[in-house]
Amino acid sequence: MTFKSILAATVATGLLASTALADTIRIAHIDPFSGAFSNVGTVNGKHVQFGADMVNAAGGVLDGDTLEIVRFDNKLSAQETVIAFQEALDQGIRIVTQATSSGVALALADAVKKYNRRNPDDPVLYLNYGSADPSLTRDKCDYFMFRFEAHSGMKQAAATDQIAKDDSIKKVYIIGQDYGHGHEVSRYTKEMLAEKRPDIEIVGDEFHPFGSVKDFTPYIAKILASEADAVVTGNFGSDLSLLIKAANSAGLDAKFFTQYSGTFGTPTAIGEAGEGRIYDAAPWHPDVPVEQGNADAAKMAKDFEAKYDSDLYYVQIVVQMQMLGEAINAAGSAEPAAIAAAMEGMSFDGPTGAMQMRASDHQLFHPLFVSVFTQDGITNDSEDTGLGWKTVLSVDAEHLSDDSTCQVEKP
Amino acid sequence: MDTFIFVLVNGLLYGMLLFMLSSGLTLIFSLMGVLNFAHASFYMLGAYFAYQLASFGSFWLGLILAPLLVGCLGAAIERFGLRIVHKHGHVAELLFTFGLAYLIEELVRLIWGRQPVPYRIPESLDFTLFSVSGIDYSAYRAFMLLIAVAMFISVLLLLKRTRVGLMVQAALSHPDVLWAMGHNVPRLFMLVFGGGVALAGLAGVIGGNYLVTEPGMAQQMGTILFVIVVFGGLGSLLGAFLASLIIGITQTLMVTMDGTLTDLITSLGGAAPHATGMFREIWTIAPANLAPVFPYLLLVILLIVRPRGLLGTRES
Repeated sequence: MTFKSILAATVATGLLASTALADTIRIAHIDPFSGAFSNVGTVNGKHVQFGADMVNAAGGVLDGDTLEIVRFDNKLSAQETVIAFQEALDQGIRIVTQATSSGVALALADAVKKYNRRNPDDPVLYLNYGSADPSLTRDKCDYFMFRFEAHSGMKQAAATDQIAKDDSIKKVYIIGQDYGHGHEVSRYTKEMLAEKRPDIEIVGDEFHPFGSVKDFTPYIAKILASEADAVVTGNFGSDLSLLIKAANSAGLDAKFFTQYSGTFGTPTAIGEAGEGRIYDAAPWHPDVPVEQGNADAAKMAKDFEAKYDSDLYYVQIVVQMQMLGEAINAAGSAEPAAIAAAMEGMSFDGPTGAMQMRASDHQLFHPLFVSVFTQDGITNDSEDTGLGWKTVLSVDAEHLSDDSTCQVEKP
Repeated sequence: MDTFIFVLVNGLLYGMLLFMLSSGLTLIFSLMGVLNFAHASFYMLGAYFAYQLASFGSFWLGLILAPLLVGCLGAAIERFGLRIVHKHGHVAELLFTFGLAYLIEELVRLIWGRQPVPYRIPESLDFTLFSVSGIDYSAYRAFMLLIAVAMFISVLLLLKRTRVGLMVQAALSHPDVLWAMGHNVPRLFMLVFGGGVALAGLAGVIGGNYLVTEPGMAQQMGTILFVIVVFGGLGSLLGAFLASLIIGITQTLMVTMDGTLTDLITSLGGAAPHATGMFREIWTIAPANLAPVFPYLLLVILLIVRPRGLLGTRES
């Protein structure tokens, strides 16, 4: 924060205090803001703040009340998260948002659940802007928890639809990080491909150590030996960048189907060598507004870039904040119980299309885009690489598939 | 067989990258008695400097200037930081380098941001050198190997054939005698520290675009280097060389090995063990997933059997 913006903020708070009519509704954003994963927390923080600012700029909620984000650093540890949650409670905050790392999300969901059981008259609302782990809205679904982005199983459903469409793919190799998410992606891919394209042969199903492989070439050698046409992976961060770099350098020309290629420096790390071969299943890429001819969404992305000098990516975080604003207005109250009741089953006209919060398990259904990394016919590039993403398959909210049978219990 | 050779060459390459990092560390460690926790940070600085220079001019400019810059920075840090702390003993020095590692990482984040930077392989080296059974071997890998071997030979020559090298060798085993004979040991410390981190910087220059140049790259490389230094034996360049190759090649080989204990037992004609209960993981875990732990296993065993390391001369 620059001195100017601090000054501006001080003046702004001074003005607010002097009018003394408008209230603020505080939301605790728990994320890693320091340490090795601070890049993730920082990017998420920008999106959360941006979403809140949008709601406030549009007149706020109720009678001009504003949303205020209070940040809590959890250093990506489950224990620190529970401590941060307690701290937020002590400060009187009753709405929390978090999603980075499914393990942390499960710990927080558990803490929220326990707190709500003990304090039925003063519940806490947990907004999850996109943990990958399906179980949060499956066996662990909860009345006071809402998830605003498709989980890994839903994304994999879209990715396998694209694989099924592509007749050139006969052999698929699955590789992933050796932990929950990697195993889930592998399981879903096998199940879905067996159903959609039984002729496709799974020629490899491999798990590598999480975050400690420097040279992926031996794995690439195995993939080459298997003669796979496509590689499916749930990897993210440097595990994904290094995998694709090693594939390029060893001359593997199979297609890659991923879930996290669109952000966190992965486009930068892949560069031109990934042209036309990397497919990503995500709720957003920079060219979605162009393809849909949506001027409002294009303006939103431009505003974000002007404000933070980085690409808008987690559009579902912004959606979450907007839906929170609408739910508060619809409920006519900022009490968690009232918000939860309003949000259940809520429909929302989002920046990428119609969205619906499923009442049974509180999973948001929103459009998903399977896109390819390319130079041709794109308007907005990704991370200033000169390459961007072009949609090859778009799945709207109604056609997303998720067979969760979880039913939240109303308190 | 072809794949085996390919894997061997790859392991060699990874081993050589590890060696470039650990050679400086082992020299600094043995000479000054300081475990330089910030060593991998200089590797990171090398990569970032090279990226910056490559964006101004060319990769080749970075290849020459970046290690020099890192070396000068290292010498300055030794002269104006470490030397002052040195009076207060090894613990203070250790803490100093420990803090330095965090400082450098945060500084890199402040200057170049938290996301990876687009430091790329130069186009003149971005082609396939040869293919073995369908697997391409890129020219850049061969170039890396070449640089690493050239570095190894020049450092070896420097240590064995020059006056400075003789002094460093003398300081390794008898620093007090060297001091008593009137040699400027502090200046030697500065040179070795600067030179050592410059080698790490060089590793960063050629490793940064081969891997990913990001603020987390130092932390990821950090611990394995200490394993190599202790494993190879303090102050032994050849020991560090052997340890790097052993660890590089075994790690790469383990990744390619398929099969689990269950497979082994069934292939020998035994019945598949019941994969239940407390130790069920043992029967189904693949060697690839044990690869990251393997160096530490080697370290623990070696410390019991031969505390001075592979080729170390001193016990402590």
